[in-house]
Amino acid sequence: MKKKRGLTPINKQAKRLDEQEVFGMGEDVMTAMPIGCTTIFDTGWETNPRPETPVGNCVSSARDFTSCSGPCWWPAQTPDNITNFPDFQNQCQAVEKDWRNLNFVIKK
Amino acid sequence: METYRIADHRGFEAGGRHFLYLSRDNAVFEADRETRDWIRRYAGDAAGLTRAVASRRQAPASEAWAQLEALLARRIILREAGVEDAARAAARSREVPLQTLVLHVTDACNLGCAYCYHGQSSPARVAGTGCGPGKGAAMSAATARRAVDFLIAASGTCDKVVLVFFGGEPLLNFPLISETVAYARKRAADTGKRVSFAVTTNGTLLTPRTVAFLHAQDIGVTVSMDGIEAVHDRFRRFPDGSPSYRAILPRVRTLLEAPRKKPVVARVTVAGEPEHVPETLDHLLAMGFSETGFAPVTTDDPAFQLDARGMVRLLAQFHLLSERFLETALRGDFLGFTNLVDLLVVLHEGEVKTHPCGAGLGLFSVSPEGRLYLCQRLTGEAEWCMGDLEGGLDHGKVARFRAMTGVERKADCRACWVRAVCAGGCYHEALIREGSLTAPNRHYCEWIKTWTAMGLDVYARLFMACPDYLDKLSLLRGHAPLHSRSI
Repeated sequence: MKKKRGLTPINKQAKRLDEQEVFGMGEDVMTAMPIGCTTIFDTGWETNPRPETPVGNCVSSARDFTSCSGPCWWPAQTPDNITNFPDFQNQCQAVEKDWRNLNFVIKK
Repeated sequence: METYRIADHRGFEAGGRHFLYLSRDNAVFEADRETRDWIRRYAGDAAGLTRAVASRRQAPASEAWAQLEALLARRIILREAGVEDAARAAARSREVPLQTLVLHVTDACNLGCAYCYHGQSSPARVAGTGCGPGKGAAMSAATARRAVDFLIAASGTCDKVVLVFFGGEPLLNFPLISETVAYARKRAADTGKRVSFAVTTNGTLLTPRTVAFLHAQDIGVTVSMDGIEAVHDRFRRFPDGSPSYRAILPRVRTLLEAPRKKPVVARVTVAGEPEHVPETLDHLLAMGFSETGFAPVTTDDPAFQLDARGMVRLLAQFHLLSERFLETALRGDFLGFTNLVDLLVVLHEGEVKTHPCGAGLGLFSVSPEGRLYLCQRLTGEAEWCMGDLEGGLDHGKVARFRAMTGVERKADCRACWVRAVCAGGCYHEALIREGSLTAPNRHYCEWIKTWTAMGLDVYARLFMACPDYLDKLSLLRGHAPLHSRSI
């Protein structure tokens, strides 16, 4: 688990919030959702509110990996699903810059 | 343009370390100085925070952005959007399976406790009109069997169900209890479910035979007792006015001395001198009760009510007991002070309450006539009759009740930092004291806040000294350990 500067989770809820980041559910995806974001219709989330491209689309492509993996919707496998590499983000802190670090992981 | 704000929180210090309690999420973090300064700086400055987020985002690989992302991920910084409400509404509308059914096996009681809430609320209840019970009515075996069938059917995918025997004094209808336990076990076995049982009794009718049955059948027993003789006998008397303590004592001893698997607990109604509380706890634990819980009496009669000053005095006693609980825990021992154990477990589990309790969600009660009500305390309240065993639950009415009583509907609760723990408090208490079941219990707001703050203090100190102890408390209350979510 990525150790977070300055914040240590104490109770179970804090640990859940801590884990959700590791599993790629960051700022935009609420854990209070039922399983899978497609089970609710939510334009606030479905359209990209940021000034970044693609404007007015789903989350910006730079955030696809971190926003849609885990229990959330994704059209195909995310790197962690296919490689059993749950800590992929550690090598890929800013996806738009570090995506080359992902490579392939072959399970021994 | 989206805006950001610091989530509602409460910072507190314990043992020289600094913690952060998130009100919306019931989450506890330890926070370092830098994080705390950041939070303090932007707590009232959404515009400044929004600018800081925007500027740091420009450098997504930077340490500064990573720190901010950590706060966003942990919902210490919130993005203002409609997302949350939609998600919560969707979560709420999910089907809630029935898990606990309280059987009001009889309306009759052989005690005449002065402060009893029975028949205190609406006239309909007393007069026995509408859904109100007839006087002293007892449940028939056929109704009890139908109730078991209803519980099994309505529990859906939930494989553990609970049947509670309540009254009146439930042991007045002991043959029904023994018959129903056997029937429920058989039905549970047929359907692959696990059923457990509980009974709340005043202790006056415990005999070696009933005690043997209760223990052999693993029935959890709660005895309503007020503690030392003088305190107990003030209000807990037989209808002829004679005191009940000495009548109960040998019977409760039989219950407590017999070998058993399930804990036997005592439930104390506090009406009058809160200074007796520590002595009462010691007395009942020394008798052999595993735990003792205290609740201020629910009544609209000022003669029994704890007034505001009385509640403050009660809090002082709870504080003393909490300190003793902590000392005992640090020695690796256990002090059965239920109120604190429950609070610590709620804080440790971090569950967020959308409703104050399970009434009308996973719990309903059944009157002797077979009508369904919100909970044991509201059995017989015509307005809160939610259906009957024959026709099942009135799902429209249940849905309306759930929507009406969500904590987000209570204006006083929205800005309150303990809302995830309290959610407005007991419906029955609110009906009696606030005049409306959907109202928050304003008369004990300050009390709950101070008590929760005390609980957080004990929680943090216990966490620092021995975190495993908290996991054990959670296990004691039937909560599973936290596992990582699998993808």
